[in-house]
Amino acid sequence: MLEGKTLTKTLDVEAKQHEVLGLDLGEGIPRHQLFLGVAIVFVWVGLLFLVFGAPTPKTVMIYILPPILILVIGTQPYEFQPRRRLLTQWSLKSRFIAKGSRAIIRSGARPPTRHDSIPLRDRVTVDQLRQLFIPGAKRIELNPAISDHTHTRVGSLILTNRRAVKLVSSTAAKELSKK
Amino acid sequence: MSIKEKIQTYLGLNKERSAPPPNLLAVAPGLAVYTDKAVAWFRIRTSNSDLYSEGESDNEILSMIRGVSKILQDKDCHLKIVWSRISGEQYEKESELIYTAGDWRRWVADRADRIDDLLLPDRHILLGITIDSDRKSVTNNHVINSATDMLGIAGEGTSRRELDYYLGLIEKMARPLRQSKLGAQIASTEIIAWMIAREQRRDISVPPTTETITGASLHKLTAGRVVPYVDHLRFYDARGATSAYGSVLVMSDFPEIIETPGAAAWLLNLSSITRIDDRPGFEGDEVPVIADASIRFKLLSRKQTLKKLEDTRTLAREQRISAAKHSAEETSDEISESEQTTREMIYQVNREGLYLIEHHPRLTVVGATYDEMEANREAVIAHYAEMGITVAPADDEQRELWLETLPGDQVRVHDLGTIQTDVAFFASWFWGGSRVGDTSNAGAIGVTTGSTPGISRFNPLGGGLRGDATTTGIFGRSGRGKTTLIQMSCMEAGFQGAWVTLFDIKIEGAGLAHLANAYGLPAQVLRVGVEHSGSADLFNVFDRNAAPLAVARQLTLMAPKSMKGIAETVTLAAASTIAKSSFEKPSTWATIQLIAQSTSPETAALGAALIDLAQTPLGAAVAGPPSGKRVLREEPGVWVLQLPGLSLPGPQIQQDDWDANQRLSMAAMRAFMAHTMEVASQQHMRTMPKLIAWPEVHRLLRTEDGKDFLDQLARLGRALNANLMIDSQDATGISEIEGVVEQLSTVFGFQLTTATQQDALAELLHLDPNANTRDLIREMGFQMGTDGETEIRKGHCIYRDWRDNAAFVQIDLPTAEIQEMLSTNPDATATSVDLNYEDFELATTTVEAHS
Repeated sequence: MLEGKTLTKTLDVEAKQHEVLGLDLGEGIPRHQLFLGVAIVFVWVGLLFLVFGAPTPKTVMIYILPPILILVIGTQPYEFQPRRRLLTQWSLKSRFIAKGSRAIIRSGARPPTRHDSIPLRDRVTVDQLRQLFIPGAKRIELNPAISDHTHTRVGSLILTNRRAVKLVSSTAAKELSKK
Repeated sequence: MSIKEKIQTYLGLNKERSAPPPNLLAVAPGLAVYTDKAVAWFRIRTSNSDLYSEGESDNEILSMIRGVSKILQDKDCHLKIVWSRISGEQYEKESELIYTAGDWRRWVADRADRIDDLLLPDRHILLGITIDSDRKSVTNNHVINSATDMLGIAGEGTSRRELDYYLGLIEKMARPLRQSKLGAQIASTEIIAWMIAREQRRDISVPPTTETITGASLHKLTAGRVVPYVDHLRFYDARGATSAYGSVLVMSDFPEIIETPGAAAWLLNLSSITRIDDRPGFEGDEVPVIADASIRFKLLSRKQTLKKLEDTRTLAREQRISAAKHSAEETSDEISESEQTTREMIYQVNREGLYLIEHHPRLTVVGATYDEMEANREAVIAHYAEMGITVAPADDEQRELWLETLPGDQVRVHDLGTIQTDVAFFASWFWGGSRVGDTSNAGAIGVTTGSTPGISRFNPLGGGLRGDATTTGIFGRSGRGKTTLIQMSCMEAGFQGAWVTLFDIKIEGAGLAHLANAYGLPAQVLRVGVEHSGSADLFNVFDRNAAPLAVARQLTLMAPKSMKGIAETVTLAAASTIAKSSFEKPSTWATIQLIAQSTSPETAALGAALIDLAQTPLGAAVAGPPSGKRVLREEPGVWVLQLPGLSLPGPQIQQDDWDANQRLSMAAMRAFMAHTMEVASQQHMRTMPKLIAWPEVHRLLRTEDGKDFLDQLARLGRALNANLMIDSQDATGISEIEGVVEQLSTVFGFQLTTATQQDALAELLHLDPNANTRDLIREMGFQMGTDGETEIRKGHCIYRDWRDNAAFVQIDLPTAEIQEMLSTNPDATATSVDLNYEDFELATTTVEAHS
């Protein structure tokens, strides 16, 4: 009998910061969360500061609460891929809505146009948003109703100057090697 | 990986995700050239691993690691496991070179239809190795292409010189890969092109036969439109309608400890995924689920492996020290375990040469409808969940994952990779499977039922054609399909223009003659009667030196019980006298006459008793006066030999207790077995392909000299280049006859139930005779019925071919008609039709004798 090991988790040590500026953080805060938290707060507060200026006692929660919520919810594991955090899935969903649904035509030989993307209603649904923003949310739409539409041909099939036509058959290769 | 790249990967914004699809520039044997890289492609041979013992299995994994680790080290590799369907059309094409006689085209067409009905998947394992990862910058190329687009002039391409350079590299790489356990061969242009095109369209079922492409445009290969949805992909045909639905799944979590052999074979198990059909009319049917696998992997060099382990250990140690300094006091169990495991691993890398492999496994399932694809996806997820492997559908990144599975692409989704030790990765057994039987010049006899299903071929004339041992042994208990296999083999040999003689002991083979006639082969049931007196005389078979002993044994066997004491010496003396006499044709009849003329009353009585026996229909053929009339035919065709009145003794009766008829029957059986050999040795039949089938040979072993007799015939068969098929319920008895075992080139083992017989069969199949093998031999004769109850499984056996590969095979008959004709059930048509043997007519089809 042989024994092999999967080391993915072993080599993925979640390092914790036990101290910041001389302040003991107890059991420690995962470093990537700390780093992200700082970055998010910096970006969010900086953005609001540039637009609205310094916070007032009435608006201070708008400056503080969103980054904290993003951090607390965003670092929860994603129900359907426990190796991922919700924050990653938010980013992937944004990317999908923006450009992830573009058709791949002839392995990229013809760039897709906006006609080659699926309708917005197929890119995001309420159920998907619920899964993304409520940690541990289960899937309700087991078989989502997705519009079925045909794609009509738009533009030329392939850019005319692509000369990539070299296909050397086994027989031809043998003949070539003889020469 | 820099901090910036780490954050990008964490947020799913790494640059690889946005990279354009691979732009194919050229395909040549073993080579695919893209804008930014060149990839060498090899086809991996399936190893016959299903029946390996634990030791064999472990040895093969270790040999594989030793063989390929140096070659693949530090290279970007891409393993593709893709499936096609085995097509009846292709089988028909290949069969044109095999058969020559009768209506073989109809026989092949029936088999081809059956193959199409079975929807058998055909696995192709391809290994891509990036041989140039820095060919051109994709960005620069994009700029150049844009400029040439504007100017309307020809853009990028590859030069002949560059292709030659890559092909040279591939040749160099191919040699060690071919010699390794991978048995890798350079992939043909056609297979590479098929693989590329298949990804785009998902509707191509059969790969092209090799060397058929003479010229084509590459853009045709990549023609297709794929649209990513949240959790699936849609493939569109040329008219813009959906042709298939697909989904790429990520294998994201594996068990931490992987032990072999066992459930660790996660890529071998790919072919055993099934689901229950829920379509109206098909509810409850078990249907196979086909999933393609794409695994991008890198076998890390020793330096990289050590760096990875050292970095983790340093971080874990730093965490431990940091926690101790602060109020946390100690780190989490995970970090402590990481530190300990990495320490052990570093030791193993240094001392035992352990490698780490980083891989990104993806599975692709498809369906004609969304619901079908979803059902397939759920079946795959559930299948792997049972093995402790997490397979997850990847929402919002189907585009990236699908592109990642394309040949010539790259890892796009970095954060779901897996790192395993070499043993854990190669325990996936991606090259494993069931591979048994002849590969060419042979017809299909059934399907392999192991981890990689496929058609199983067997040529009963193969031994003679190869100049190899010529005996095929079929062992197993009664009613498991041995006779059906023999009859199928007779048909296969008949279509090859062979002289085929089946010794039909149980008078159940008339259906074979009917079937052969129906397919245009000359065929007849030959019944032995008094008119064939002396036809099976052993003096005709053996030369004058060897014949006396054989004849004496035969007559001793026939002698009455009370005369056994003198029979041995008297018959030998008489047979020797006749052999040495000046008779032109010595005979057993003359020997008996000599004994009868003895002056000793006891000897004369023995002679008289033997004369009485020689006047019965069975005895006449063995020891009667020579009539010169033969029973057996001497031209190509399927001849079924029957001996009416044959009554062989059962296993429970001792030889001393046999009655006169049983003794005579046994002598007749031996005589006719020898007689068939004699006919086969005729000068004009020397070059003719020959097949002689002897069922129930275990009955022969019940006589004192039965083993010697069988041994002698097996050797004679080899000398005459006559292919023998023997069937027996007694594997133990046969395994003790060294001469016969030595002549066995192929073995079929059906179910046996006692441990002694199972062990003997295991030895004949060249398997380890252990508890596991015994279980396999017992269980292969059973199956689960639709009602959940165990039922008998007929025709399921282990086939050990002449290359020493062994695998499970289900003997399969092409049509229900053939099944009915070859049935040995007492109520089957062939045995219930009014068999007037004289009415059998020779088919008029010309038989081209094998020259």
